[in-house]
Amino acid sequence: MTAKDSDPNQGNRPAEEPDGQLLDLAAELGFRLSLAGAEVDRVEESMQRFLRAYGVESGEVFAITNCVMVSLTDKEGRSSTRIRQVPNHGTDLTRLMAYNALSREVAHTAPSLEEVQARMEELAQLPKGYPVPVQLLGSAVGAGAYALFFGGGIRDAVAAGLCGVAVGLCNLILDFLETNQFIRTIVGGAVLTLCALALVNLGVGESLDAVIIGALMLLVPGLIFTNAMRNILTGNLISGPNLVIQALLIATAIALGTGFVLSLAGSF
Amino acid sequence: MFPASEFLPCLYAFVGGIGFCVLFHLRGKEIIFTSLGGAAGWLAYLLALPVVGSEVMAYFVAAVALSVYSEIMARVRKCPVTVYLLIAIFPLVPGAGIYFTMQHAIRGENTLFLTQMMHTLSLSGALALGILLVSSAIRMWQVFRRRTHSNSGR
Repeated sequence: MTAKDSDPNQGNRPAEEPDGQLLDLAAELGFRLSLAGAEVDRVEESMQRFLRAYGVESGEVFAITNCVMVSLTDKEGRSSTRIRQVPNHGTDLTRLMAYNALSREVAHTAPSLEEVQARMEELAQLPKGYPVPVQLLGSAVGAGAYALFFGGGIRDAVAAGLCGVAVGLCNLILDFLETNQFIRTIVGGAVLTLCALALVNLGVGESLDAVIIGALMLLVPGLIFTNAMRNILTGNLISGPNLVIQALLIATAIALGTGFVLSLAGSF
Repeated sequence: MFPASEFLPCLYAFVGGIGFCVLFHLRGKEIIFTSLGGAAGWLAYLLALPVVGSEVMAYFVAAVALSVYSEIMARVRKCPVTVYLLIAIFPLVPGAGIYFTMQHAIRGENTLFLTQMMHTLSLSGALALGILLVSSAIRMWQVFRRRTHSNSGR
């Protein structure tokens, strides 16, 4: 991510573009917020506030789930634009909070652009998530707790925790291979069902349903559906349906992954 | 009125929330507050269920409750609301619904499959509606405040 964090436009900026740095920073802020998993409205609002803070009234910002754009026109009528594509990404709440705080601060105090640039570079150095063992532990705790939540016993929780670790490992490997979310969810669902079947047959878990549902909570499309509805209701008919499809695809992928293994096991 | 074991799922939701915080790279005190939101949401569901009678309505009430909690915490702790909602929503996400829908599908139980699917979609809808109702109301209140005393706005 560090490579993508750095500004690709620096150095070869045309000399007749007075607001270049402002545009670059606004686009970079939107890009990083988006990459941290911020909703589309938050990204647009942050970029808009950023431009306003520096007295730009003729600026336009636009964001969809995988792209941010900033454009402004100067007094002579010349317009310049930045477009940043946002690659597939997870959610990094620490970064989301940090960039959101920076954006609010800049909107209030409008420090010099150099200072903003320095702060952005500082924030790019934030640690990138927890170390792998802690992440796997997180998956195990999440899956185990939700097995209990859905009516499983302690043994089911242990089994679901182990399935959670398997899903976590699977995600790490598929992340490394840059697999898309649909495939990742199918594979995750299949792997967790395989593990659950094995563990229940070995006698570690008792209730297959509780073990599978517990581990499956690691894959469900949590807030996506809500954000989708929010976008649709606010009239954002590009990002809204986009997210609805994403949520439905994830749910389908979960069903496909778990269902495939379950029906395969049922036929033996 | 309720046996204590009825409320154990709230504890599980809290612990599960901590696990999810790790997966979403959340650090610091917010881990506790976001996970508490999940427990609060489920508590609201458990308390609402005998009153409103239907699961979908209870989901709606729980969504409103967790959303109010998240909006308050976001203002107190000066964090984006998303941070709280994202973790707190998990106990209410119909993961079991998705699973049972799939189970009916592979068993060829078409009527049950459709019933379960509609139920899962209704739950998701109630959840989204509850959250959106609160955030829209808050937004309207902010605009109202800004319009009525335009100098004292944020």
